[in-house]
Amino acid sequence: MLHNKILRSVFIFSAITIFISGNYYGEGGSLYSRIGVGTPLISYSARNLAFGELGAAVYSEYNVGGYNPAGWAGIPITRTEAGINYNGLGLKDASTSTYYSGYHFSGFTVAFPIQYSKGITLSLGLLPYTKVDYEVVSSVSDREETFSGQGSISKAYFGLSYKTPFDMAVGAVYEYYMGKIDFQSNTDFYAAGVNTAIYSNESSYFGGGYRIGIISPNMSELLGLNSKDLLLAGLVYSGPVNLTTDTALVAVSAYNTKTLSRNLIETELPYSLGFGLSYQKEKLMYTADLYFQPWSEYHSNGLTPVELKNLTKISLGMEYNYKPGQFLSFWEQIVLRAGLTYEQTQYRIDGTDLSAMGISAGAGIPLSSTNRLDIGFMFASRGKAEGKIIKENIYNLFFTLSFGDFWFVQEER
Amino acid sequence: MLKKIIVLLFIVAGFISCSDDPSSIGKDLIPPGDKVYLDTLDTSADNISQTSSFFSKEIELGVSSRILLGKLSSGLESSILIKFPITLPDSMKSLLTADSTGLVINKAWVDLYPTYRIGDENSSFDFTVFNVRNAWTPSGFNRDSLSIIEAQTDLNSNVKLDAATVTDSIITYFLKPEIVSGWLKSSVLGGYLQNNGMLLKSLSTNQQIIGFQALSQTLVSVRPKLNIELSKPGVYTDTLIYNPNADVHIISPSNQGFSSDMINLQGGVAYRGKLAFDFSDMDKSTIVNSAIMTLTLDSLSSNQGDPRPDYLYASIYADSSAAVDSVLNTAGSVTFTRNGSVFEGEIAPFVQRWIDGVSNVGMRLSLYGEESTASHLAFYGSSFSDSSKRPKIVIKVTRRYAP
Repeated sequence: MLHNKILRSVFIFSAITIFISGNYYGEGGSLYSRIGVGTPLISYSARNLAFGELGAAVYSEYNVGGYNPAGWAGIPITRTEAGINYNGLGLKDASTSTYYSGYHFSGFTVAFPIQYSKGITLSLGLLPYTKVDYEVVSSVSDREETFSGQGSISKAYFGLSYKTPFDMAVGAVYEYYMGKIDFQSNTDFYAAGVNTAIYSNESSYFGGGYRIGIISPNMSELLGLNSKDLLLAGLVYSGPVNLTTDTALVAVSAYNTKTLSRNLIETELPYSLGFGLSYQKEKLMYTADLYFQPWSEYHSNGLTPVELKNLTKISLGMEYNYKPGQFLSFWEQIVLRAGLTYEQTQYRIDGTDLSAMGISAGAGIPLSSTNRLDIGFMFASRGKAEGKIIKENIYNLFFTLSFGDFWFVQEER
Repeated sequence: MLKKIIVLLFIVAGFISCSDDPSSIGKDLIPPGDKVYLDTLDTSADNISQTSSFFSKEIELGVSSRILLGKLSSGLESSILIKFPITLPDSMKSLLTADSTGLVINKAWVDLYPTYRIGDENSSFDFTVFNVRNAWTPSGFNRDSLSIIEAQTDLNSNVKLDAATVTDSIITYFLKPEIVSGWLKSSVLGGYLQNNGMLLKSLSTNQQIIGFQALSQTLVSVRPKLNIELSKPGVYTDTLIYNPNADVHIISPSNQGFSSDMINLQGGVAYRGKLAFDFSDMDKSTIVNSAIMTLTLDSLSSNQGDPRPDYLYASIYADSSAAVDSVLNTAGSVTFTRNGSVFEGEIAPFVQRWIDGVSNVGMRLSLYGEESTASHLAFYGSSFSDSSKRPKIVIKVTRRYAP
């Protein structure tokens, strides 16, 4: 028990330290994150990543980080969860290729099942929402120009789930968004004594939003399936978010830093809607999901980047889970997952709509009767090496540690 | 098993964390708003207005690296106050008697080693050595201070060096032994004329100024020396050598008739320049990458001396009043270096501050080490008829917005 507590403390401390100190990353990343407020993250946990990032109709017995808050209704004991993820990114254009990698904080969440029998669970946490991370170096005759973007928007949330008498779970979350993104243009001259010029476009975001979700009762009998099977439907809706945005254009010379302009503007993030099905038969669970977010409705100071369009994502996943029992071996307790995903991304580059495909796999490894380490890996390919468009091979590896405690658990009498 | 898995994960994570350096991939996706624009401005070609002037400024000479003596044909004259700390070894003090029978001063002389010359080097060089009667200190000593110095011409009223002698690497003049003996007795017995040093004053016939190493410098071989040869009659003869413990030179200004369309810089007096360019139309987003300013020297109008000045010093004015002559210390200073008749300096820190909103009342120009020289450099000014010889700045800038 002491060992677990120490392990938990170390991991959570490390994850939060990574979050506070900025993310560990190489010096490059996806150029597409320059568009809008960065690349939005849908999945926060290794479990969801492994079966295709989504999972709107999945209960979260061992995981808090699922994207449907109604799933918290399935959490039997207090859970603390934190994660980090490895991002590898292979970029290729018409003539050259490169590879960047780094680590990011993937969230810290806590869930308190106040009354498990009614699915009443309170959850709060801190999750990344978007990420900007790229650096492009261009060599001109007498100088090197570097264009970089760094930063992220995160959200702190608290929410509740509740399971209605007719076994439908609902969940609602208030989310407070905050973050800072900095786009820099840096001109370095090769000649000695010629000063570097840096222009920095800094934006700080803050504002509130909400997310609601439902998970249906078991519908297997309605469709004539075995009543022991579990067929669920889930729906998740995130409302549009207005972010107050403090922007500043700053010029940094060798002798002075001056603010050229400063404005308070509005950034409107579009709503998102996710729908999913899950079907569990004995040890196997299958998921199918659809996710939609109209990024064409994104506005920053009333303007929408021409590179943004609507995002549509579908995913298929499966999970092989053990049946709980006292005398299972370590290997028998391992949960296996796999998934496929296809995405019409929100990016339209040079008149071409970008799509992405991904394949994922993962495992849940028991650390004790209540604790678990989840590992998820996804390989995805986005875009194509043609004209201005970059082909991206994305390697995501998530580690999520989930610790359970018997707080608030009412003893059976 | 758990430990093995965790170790394995760390190994895998370490292995896959390798990353390439940033590359040019994606440069075509950088939006125009993120890009920067480079430009080069030439004040002589881009019609940027400028003004120049010069003015005299009395400066602190007590910190000089040289002391100067002599007079130029223009009327510029420099005098030296110098003091040697005269003491006797304990073994000799007992021999010093009021009637000078125990210890006899045979002779006393001063060796000066010229390190700087300006003017007609082939002319003779004459000066008078005065015994100073009252105390003085180099710090803050100026032209007005010289008028309160009480001096007697009883050390050597007429040091005459002919043209051949004055070009030697050493200038020697003798002091009256009885005066030096008085200084020694004063230091040991008290009651005699105190040693307050000597005043070296040029005769009006001189046409050159010679400089000698000042106290602030440490090169032993050219340090001024006072030599006192003394003896105990019939027993021994010895020579005591002293280096100065105080020195300063004082330059009296003269009407030198400098041309108003030039920027005249001169040491000692001193003359400084003021030069301003109008950058008020510059885009405030501009970042100055470099700003090379050039000043062109009119060698014929200059009197450069040897060694000639190879550096200028520039600072920006903090106040719109030139009379205040106060510079903005936070902006630092720029040293201009010489290339033939052109002096060149990187004044990007100045131009950047002017563009950023620091009040632009121009920059102050002076000779580097102006307190240690009498050299005069005449640069073509902003109103000089030949515009190609006027001061010029070539500025390389980066802008956020397209011009």
